Amino acid sequence: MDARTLFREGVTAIRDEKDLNRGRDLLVQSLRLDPQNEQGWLWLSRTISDPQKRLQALERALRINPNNTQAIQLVERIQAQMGTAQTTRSAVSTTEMLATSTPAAFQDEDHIEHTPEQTYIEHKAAPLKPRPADQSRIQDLLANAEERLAAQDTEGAIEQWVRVLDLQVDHEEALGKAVRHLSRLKYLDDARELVWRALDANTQHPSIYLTAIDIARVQGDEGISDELRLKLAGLPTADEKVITRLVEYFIKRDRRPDAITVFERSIERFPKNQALLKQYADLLMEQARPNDAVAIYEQVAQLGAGTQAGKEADKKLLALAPGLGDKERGSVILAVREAAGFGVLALLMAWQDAGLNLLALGPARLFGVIMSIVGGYLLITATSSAQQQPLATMLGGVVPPAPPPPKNDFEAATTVQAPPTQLPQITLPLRLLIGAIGGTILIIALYLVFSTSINLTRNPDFADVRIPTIEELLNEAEVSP
Amino acid sequence: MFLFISFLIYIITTLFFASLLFPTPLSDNGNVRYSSLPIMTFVLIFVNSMVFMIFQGFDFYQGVNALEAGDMNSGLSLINNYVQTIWMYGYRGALLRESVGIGAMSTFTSMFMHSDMWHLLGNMIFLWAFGRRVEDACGSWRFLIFYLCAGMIANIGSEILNPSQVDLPGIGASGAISGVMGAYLILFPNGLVTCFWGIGIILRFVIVAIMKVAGVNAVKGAPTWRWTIQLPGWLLLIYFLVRDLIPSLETIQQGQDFGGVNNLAHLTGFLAAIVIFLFVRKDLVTRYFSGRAI
Repeated sequence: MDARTLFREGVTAIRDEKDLNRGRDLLVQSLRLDPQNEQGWLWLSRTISDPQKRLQALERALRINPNNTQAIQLVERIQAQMGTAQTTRSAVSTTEMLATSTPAAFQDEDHIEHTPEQTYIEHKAAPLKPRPADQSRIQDLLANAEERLAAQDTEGAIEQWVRVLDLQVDHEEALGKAVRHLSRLKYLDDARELVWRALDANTQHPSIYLTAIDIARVQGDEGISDELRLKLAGLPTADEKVITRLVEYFIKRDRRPDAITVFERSIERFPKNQALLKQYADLLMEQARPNDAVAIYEQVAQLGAGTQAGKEADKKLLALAPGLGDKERGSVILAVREAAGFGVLALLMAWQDAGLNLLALGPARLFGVIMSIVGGYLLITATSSAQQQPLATMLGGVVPPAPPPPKNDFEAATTVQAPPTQLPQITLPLRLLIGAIGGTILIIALYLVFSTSINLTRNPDFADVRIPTIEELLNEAEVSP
Repeated sequence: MFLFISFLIYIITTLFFASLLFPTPLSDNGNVRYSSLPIMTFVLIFVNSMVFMIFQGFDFYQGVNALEAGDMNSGLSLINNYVQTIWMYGYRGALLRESVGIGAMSTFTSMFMHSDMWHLLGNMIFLWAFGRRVEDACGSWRFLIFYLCAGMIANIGSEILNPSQVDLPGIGASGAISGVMGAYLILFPNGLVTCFWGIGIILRFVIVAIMKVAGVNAVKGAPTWRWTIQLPGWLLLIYFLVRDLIPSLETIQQGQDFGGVNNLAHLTGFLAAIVIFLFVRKDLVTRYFSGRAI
């Protein structure tokens, strides 16, 4: 067998068959044929209980690749376990031994220490961002990996990708390819290890989370997979597609509260995504949270009522509750618009009072029309527009208290409360005063615009009105608009 | 009790025959958004009914009964009272231009007067069918002001656009109600209106029966027979608009010097609906102009 096959079988024996003796034998044979196999020395170190010998194996690995952070960390760990004094000693002896250590030197190991954590890939902390100097090395390693992959040397390629990950723990390409090929080779634990190294380092790549979720799911660890899903939702880099996928997953399993949690953690990042917001609001409605749903539906509708989501949200709002917002409450233009309604009424009255002749309105009636607008404005300010800005603030208005919270769950689930206002409102005594002034002005205005008719009505004189008798009308048709 | 039931049967039968060819809107199907009780619509229906019953209906029907009973003197006297009321309080240009009688106050009095029970009933049915939702969109007081404005515009329009020199009084709420109908068309063009319509009901029966036999899934659960039919609001109102438009144009061109239906008042009242935007609720205005449903 060649060195590579021996190495592969050795790793399989160690990891899958838990047969460390056989694994060590195979690795020793492999290293005899190829002493430059850095990973071979690393694996060999795991089959040895004697710290000194383990250090020797690791030093061999470091000799091949002094930047192998995995080997460096293992050395540090062993030295820490041995104690400072011993470490100094062992470091010396290691250096001494380094020249002489051969694979055969490890063959007489009889006591094998094995812990479940021992895997192909060592769990360790690694940088998220590579050093500038490592950039070109990463490119070289990736190129090497592709070359090895092309030469059917999958494990060699994996080794290159793992080296990339030593330099940048969440390198998407290297991690993705390493995990894919490790999974194909049934080294799922190792794949998991690589992914978790990135997660532990707080990677921001959603694809790595999705891979971790897939691995956890395949390994039957639903708890971790769900935890990862919720964590992924809060990731600033998780886009709409990812969020939709997460939500669909939870809805499919009838876990709507979890789907809502996904939205709660992510929706702020998508303030303009109507479809997503609408889905969130629908879920809130299903979970008997109409007040929260209304706020979201409003957001959707305001983004545009022409789209499908906008139309649907608008319909829901229509069925739920009135939506008078601060925009309308604080608008002077809308209040003046209503006052203009009084102006139209007064103008029509004045026009008729002037004998249907606009040119004969006269200053009194025109003044009455203007007064009707002023009086109407004051009346509207006192009644329905007491939060106009900046008028209300100028008049020392105060923000009205928020509506009381629902008394019970049933009320919360079945009633929609008006959204609390942030705008100050003119105080009640002042409103009463403004209303009284406005009402008075309006009455005077209506009298001015309709004075002739009011005077006529007070003392109606029909002497000049030609009223036909029934006999005269018998030949005429009845009148009715 | 017997008289009351007979009266009801009489009304229903008359309405039935009146609605065989043309649809009579009974109610709007849309949901109200703010208030389930259209107080001002009720008040207007009540006031219109009371004005007719107290000031007109008594004289008119008592007079007719007296005449039918052969009591010519009291019959003619009562009918004369009825006619005088219309001529004194109906809307006439002469009252306004010459400042006689009650002057322009007649614009308000005429709006609440009706010529007979059918005139009143027809108008009130339309007011109920379209006023309920428009009132909901405006609020009661604003709806009242809009109603009065629409009525006044209808009166003014029928007076200044009619070149006829014959000064017949105009009475009835239909000008104001046309304004309400126009406002409904503007605000709720997609609304569905439940109508009584003889031909429509029969057509519906035939179509639904054929489709059921043909196995069309969409109508499998639908009842074959219904006493009412739902028509799109815009279709119904455009029909009424067109129905008033042609005679109105004739009136504007030639002048109308005989009585009857004042189509010009209906048309101008309908067009007066444009001022509805001064009266609808604040949030509805912003919703409407941002293309949202109201």
